[in-house]
Amino acid sequence: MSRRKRMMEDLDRDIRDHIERETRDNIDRGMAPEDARFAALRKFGNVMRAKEDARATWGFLWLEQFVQDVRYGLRMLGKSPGFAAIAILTLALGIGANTAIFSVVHAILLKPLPYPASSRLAIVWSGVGDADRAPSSGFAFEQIRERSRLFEQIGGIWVTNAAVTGADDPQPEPVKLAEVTSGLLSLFCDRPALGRLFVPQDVAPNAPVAVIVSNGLWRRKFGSDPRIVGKTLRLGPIAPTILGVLPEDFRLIFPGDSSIPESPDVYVLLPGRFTNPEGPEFLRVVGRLRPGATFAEAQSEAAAIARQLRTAIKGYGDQNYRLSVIPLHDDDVHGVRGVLTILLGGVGLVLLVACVNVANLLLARAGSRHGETAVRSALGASRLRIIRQFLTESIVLGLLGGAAALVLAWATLKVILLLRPEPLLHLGAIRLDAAAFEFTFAIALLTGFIFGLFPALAAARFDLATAFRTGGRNLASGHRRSRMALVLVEVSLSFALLAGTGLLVRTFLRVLRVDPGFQPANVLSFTPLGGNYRFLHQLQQSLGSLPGVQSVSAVSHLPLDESVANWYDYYWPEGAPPDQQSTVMADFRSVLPGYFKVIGASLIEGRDFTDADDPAHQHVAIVDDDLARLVWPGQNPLGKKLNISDSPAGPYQFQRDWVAVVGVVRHVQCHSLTRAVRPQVYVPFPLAPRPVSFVLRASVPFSTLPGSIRQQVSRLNGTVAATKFIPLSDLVAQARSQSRFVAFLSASLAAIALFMTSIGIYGVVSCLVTLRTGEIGLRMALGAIPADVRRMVLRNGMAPVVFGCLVGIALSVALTPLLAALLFGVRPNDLATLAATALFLSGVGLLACYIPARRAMRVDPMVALRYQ
Amino acid sequence: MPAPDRKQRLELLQGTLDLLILRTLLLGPAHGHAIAKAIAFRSDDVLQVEEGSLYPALHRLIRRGWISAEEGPSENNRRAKFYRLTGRGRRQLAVETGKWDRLAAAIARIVRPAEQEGKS
Repeated sequence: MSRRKRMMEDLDRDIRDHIERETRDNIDRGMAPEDARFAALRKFGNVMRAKEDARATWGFLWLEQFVQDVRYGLRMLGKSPGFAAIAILTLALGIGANTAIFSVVHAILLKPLPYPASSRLAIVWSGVGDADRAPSSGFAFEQIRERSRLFEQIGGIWVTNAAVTGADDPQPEPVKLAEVTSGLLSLFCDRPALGRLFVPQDVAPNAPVAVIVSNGLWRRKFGSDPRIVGKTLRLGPIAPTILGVLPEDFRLIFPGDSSIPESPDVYVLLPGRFTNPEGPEFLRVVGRLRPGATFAEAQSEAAAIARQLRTAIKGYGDQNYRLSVIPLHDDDVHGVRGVLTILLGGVGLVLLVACVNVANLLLARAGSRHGETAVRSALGASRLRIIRQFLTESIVLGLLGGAAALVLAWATLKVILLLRPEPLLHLGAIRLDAAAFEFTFAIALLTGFIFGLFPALAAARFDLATAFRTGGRNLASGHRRSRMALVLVEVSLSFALLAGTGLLVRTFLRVLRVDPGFQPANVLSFTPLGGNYRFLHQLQQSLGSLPGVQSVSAVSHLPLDESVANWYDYYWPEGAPPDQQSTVMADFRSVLPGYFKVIGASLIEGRDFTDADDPAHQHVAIVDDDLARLVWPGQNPLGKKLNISDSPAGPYQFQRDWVAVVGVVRHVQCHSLTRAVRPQVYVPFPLAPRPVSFVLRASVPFSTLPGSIRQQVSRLNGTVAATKFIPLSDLVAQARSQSRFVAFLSASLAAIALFMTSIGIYGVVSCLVTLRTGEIGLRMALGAIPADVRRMVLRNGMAPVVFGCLVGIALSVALTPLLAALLFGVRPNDLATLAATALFLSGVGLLACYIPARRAMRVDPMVALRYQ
Repeated sequence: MPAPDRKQRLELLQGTLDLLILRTLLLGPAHGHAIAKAIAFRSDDVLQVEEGSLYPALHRLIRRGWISAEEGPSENNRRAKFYRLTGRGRRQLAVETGKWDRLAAAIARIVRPAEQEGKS
């Protein structure tokens, strides 16, 4: 700093010296001393300008001016705390919404998956019949593994339920049991926390059964025993050795429709080789490409393998067997990418509205700061310098807004996570991290620049003489046109947001009214782990006699519960030609008698199952009305024969079988409330035994039930644990969570935009009234009645609102089709929504104009004219 | 000495002031006022340097290393700041002069084509 001071003193002396010499020269030429000095000064020109320009060449002037501007800006903000508060709050809302959504987008769409070489991981889906994202059979998996040259490693997994008993804790704990091939875990994990992962040699024909356990299970069940490797645990009837423990942060990230939970507790190897080409399709397949191989190459290799299999095996040809290779990360987010992109667009619009609003505020202030600008300009500040100063001020404002936005974003993320949007949750930690901070900083700088530029240019573009002469009144009214234009922009942006929100809220309302095909109220479900048919049958009887329980049954797959791997397979009716067999699929459910009555599904024709429907009697099935309409249009489906896969010999020992249709039930929405995915076939439990969940319709509060249910379960079989008590209404609420989440967020965004817009309209109109107080007073003195004044103010104020709505309609027509994928029961460009939006926005605009208009009506002509 | 009419005085082209300063200092070190006077005098008062703009230009040239500033006694024994051409400044002057000649010749060819032909 002292160096700078010395240089400034130097410069001062130099210039003083110069002017002195010139003065003396002039005196030598015979001028009077006074004139001589004046002539010298005139010849020199603007001293301040010369000094400033000279200092500008020193390099740090820019910084110096910047610091000066920042301090000046902060002082100005301090002088008008009301303005500062509104501007910072507006920006905080606009930027905060962006930061929050960015954090979500960053965690989900942008961050690589937390796996070694995760960019080379691909998921391999099988395409069979009309299903594109089907699991693979064990046989097909081995074919891919053997034939592929581009995958350096490939693994398969499926997850089921089991009960684990630990060394210290004899109480069986329900766990997710993952059955994997030897290559799977090392795709997702570099090295385990303890012991080792599976290797191909572990799949020897008579190798002892071994498991790898999750870090959580190791802590819970084994007290973090550091010498656990080599010990055994009880897994149902077997006692495998523990090979290793996974790291604490290990989790599986699979697409939502793959039914692979994030953290199975126990991993066990799938047995030996799969030799049956027609074996069950159950494996999710993930592979890692060789370095240098592209996904496109892997896809064409997979297509070639599928072609070979189609030719080699007839069944594969019949089903038009296909393979698709998709980057794991892309596939993982495919369900949420649309939602997130639209939210990102929404917060972008909100930020624009915030920018426009603050620009509007700044313009109003620039009007009242004309005097200051004029003085600075008269003192030799260049136009560029004034623009820079205004811009610095607005950037300071932007940064303050950004800082406040971080707080707001933090709170918003808390709320977002509280809403528990199901599809977002398993996709990793969403939090404010360094990237979010950088993003906020960049956005704050950028917005500061954007909303500041317009007012800064306006402030610098004015005529000095006029400014002094009129005291700025003309100037401020000159800004009026710009401010009207800004209000118009604001209204049209808000219109688009409101229209989009209207559509999403209507979608949500429709989703709320969707009839899922069953009546979830008063139905509680739970899942017993283990137990045979005899046990299930007895449990059904004994639970039915509990007080307050009206009916009891069980099903293999609860409706709208995606936590259990789906069971779907081909079916064909009697008489279907061979090329039409194995082309269409249905969801299969294994049920105990009385299921439809318990969940409130309606049996349209025929009968329900009875205890007599077992493998020893005629094999029967109940189909839904969708299937009946599809297969036997216009015919009576009762008694018709259907070819399906069932497993009377035991769980998952599938065989093709002919069943007779004995009943038709209305379609139950079992994957989504808004899409009919596949028709359904119900088979009696004895034909397809597999793990089931119980459902109870009860007239007593659910809180009283689990206790007595557990009692009954352990009375009948001490080794079975009753788990997962979930009301069916929770499953329905979960299925609504995405549309609820989207509707809630967009409504919040629209509310913010609406709030800002009404502030903008109010600000402009009230400024208009203040500026025209004199004119209004004059009109009233000349006989105008208050109603005329009100009409005039409203007309002026509403003009940008009405035009803004018109532009908004055009904007909505262009933008709302992007929402199409999220809408249900309402179409983009829905006329009623657009009309309602226009009406609503005009109403809000009218309200915002009305308050200043009332003030205008009360103008006292005498006071107004005196003020003028 | 009658000063030429205001209309005949020329505004300096952007960047030419640097050239004039360097050229002036080729004759020896000088202080600011002397430089301004020399430029006006040597151009028969046609070139009127707005004296205020001389100082930013001097500081710019110092920063580029083409001239240096030093304290020294002036003619009547008062302290003054003298500006002196550096070695780099000397080389730069050659470059700038060459550029100026080419520019002047080019403009002359466009503005006075006939005379040019007559001469050659």
